Amino acid sequence: MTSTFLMLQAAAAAAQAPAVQSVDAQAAAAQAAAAQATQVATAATQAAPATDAAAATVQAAAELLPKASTFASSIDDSFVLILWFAVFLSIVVAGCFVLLVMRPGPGGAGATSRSLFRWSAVGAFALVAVFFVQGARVWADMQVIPRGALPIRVALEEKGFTFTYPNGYVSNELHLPIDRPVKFSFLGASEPYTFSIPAFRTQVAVPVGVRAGGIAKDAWVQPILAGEYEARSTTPSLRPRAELVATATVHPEGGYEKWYQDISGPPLDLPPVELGQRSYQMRGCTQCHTIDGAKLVGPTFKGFATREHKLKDGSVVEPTDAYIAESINDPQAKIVEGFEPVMPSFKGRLHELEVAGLAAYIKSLQ
Amino acid sequence: MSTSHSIGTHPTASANPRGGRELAFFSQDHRSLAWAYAIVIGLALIVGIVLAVGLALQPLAGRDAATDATNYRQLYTMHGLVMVFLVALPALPGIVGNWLLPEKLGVAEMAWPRLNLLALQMLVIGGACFLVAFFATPLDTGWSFGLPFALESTSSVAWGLLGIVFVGASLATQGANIVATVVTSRGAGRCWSDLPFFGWALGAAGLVQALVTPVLLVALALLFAQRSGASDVFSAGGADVAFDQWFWFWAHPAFGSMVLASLAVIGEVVGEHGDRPKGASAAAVLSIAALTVFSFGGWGIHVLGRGDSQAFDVASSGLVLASGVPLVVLIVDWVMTLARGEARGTTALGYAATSTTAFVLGGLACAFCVVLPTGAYLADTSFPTGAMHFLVVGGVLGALFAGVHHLWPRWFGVPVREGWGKFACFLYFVGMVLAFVPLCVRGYLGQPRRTLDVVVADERWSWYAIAGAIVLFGGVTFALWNLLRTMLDSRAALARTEGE
Repeated sequence: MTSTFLMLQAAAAAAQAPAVQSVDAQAAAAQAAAAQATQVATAATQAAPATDAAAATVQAAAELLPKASTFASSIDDSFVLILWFAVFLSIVVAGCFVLLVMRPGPGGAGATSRSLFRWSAVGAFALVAVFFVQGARVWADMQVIPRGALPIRVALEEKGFTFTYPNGYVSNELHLPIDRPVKFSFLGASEPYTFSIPAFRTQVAVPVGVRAGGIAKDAWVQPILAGEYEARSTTPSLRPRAELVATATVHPEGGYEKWYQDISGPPLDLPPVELGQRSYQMRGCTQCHTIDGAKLVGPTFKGFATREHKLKDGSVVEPTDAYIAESINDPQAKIVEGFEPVMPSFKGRLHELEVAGLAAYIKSLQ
Repeated sequence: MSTSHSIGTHPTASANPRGGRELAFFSQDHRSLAWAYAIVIGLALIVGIVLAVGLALQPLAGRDAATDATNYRQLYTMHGLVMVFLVALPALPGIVGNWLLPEKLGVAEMAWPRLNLLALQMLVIGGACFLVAFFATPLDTGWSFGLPFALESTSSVAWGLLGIVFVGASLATQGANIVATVVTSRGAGRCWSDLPFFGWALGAAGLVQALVTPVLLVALALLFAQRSGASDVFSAGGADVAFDQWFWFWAHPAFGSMVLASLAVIGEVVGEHGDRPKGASAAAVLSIAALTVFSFGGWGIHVLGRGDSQAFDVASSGLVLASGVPLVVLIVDWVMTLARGEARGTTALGYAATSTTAFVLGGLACAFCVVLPTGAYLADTSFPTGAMHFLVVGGVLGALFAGVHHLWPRWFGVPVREGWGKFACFLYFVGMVLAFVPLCVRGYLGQPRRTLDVVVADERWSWYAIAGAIVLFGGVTFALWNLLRTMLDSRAALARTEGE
């Protein structure tokens, strides 16, 4: 039956370009291919009689919708079990009708015995109980986020998904380590959205958010197969689809760590203004602070050095380096009039040279 | 009260067995009203099906993304509104129920003939409001008015809501009338234990309709108040979930009432065409009672994983899965009924078999969406859309066709042409499977619902769905044409009799 189910997938796979492409350039590609091959081979031996046709079917199915997380296999087990019964019971019921209509002459007299009803009720209950328990076990596992999971914040913003990594780096691309649990924290947006990665068989529905920066949902996943997969929102939306998809890259062993090092900060030997500019772009400042005068969640940096800054409590501060550094490390200390105290602290997350660079850069903006 | 309902004494009871069709839209006679419902719902069904074919073919149309997306939203909104509110909900109680219920209960009329007429008239007025909504600024919110679209949309939302208010009042009235008819028919020598299965199941459907429809009207009133600035009940975070809780608190039992009414008709057709007219076994009555109770508690499955309470998700999932148990008992009951009697291979029985099989397929397709991890994965993909269509198109409309083919010879005095009828039924079954399995498969592969964008590049499944839509359309067209021809046959027979 598993093979029938996979054949369903494979039929679609035949008409579709493979969803999984090789990973990062370089040596990673070979490693990923090897991982995939192992995965496919394992699936083939488990799922189908060892014929060439079945193996090809399984391979095609794996390419179309690979089992790329620890949840994928167990969730697919639920799919296969229910599908098996859907096909089997439909055929039985339709078959009963057809056979009874074709049967010549009347059947036996008398009423249906109560025990038949009782046993069909017991059988049906057992069946749905198996469906329920099989699913609930995976569900329970999904609710308990392992300690030490890599935290990544997910938000749906104006231009699409953004992912914030532990070091504050913000990207439109999702990068994930292999064989390590990842904790997603979802920020509520102005419209409901889902975050679905079919290759992981997981989808999280995030309701409309209340506060800026408020976390609406947490979820976790552990990728087990390197590759590039599509993440998307499936909730109906008026936006163009391009704003509702993102690429999720599962790096092969060691690949994520290398990538993380690369993005962890700009080279500290840059001139201060340039260093500050890179920090401004890389550290997520752009989400709330513009340099063109537009007002977002936080005040704009345009003309920062040439004006006085009026605070909520009525006092006024000068645009000094100390004020900028304080606002980065302890954002709640001074709140500009007309804004809310919502900025997270960057204390300990930026090198002091970066803070100095940011001050230089912000003051340089006309 | 029940004594005044014995046959022939009620002032509005029609002497004409075909039921005075000439006054259909103003007569309070239940048979005339059944016929009037058949005309109204038949027209709505044709509109809904043409829109469905339009939806299926839309991917083949032009490639102007923005216009296409707007048109598509308008198309699926119209299709959903027409099919849910003007066809699936009122059809079985309105057509088959009106015709058969008093007869099965042994009374002359529905309990409230005047309300019965009012229900039809409000349905027509509601349909007219939908027409305005479609032609003024075409409604584009989807039939389920999901937030935030329903708040932000600049289309004729008010007309759509007004239409639903009328249709909702019609449904609640219809439901209350059915319950009153069942209840008042008991007594004076007619015990509850004599109540046939049809009375139990349709009575349960009526009860559900009467009880939950007001919830829908309250939800939509709140939505309207929010849109017009009179309220901000849907302004807070999570408002989308709050609205969906309201909406599905109505919609889940409302779909349950469709299923209950379908079960009434299938049981009736299976009994009559298996030469074992159905009383009601204790098991069947218990099953109907269980389905009724379960249907009230299942709305949470439509907000699965969106609220804050995991316990609520787990409970909803368990309760909806449990609804499968009474359904299985009923199916066993029907199969055993056929096994004990002598089944005639009629078109009506063919549709009853189609409907039953579709409930098995659709019920298990829903199980995918209800089991917790698969359900959370499939939410908002095209999978639930496909599963729902198995239930509504295969199950509910299949039962409608079974009922209509069962009643048609009695309306027109000549038999339905069985050969064509069975061919149409076969096309219907094949078309249904072919049209909706691809929706499920593509949903599993990650295709979002309600979008023209082909996210899963699966040309082949799209083509299956298009082929299925065409076959299904063919099946319905053949069936309607065959029924129409039977009417003409009856007219010819009548002319012959008069000529002699």
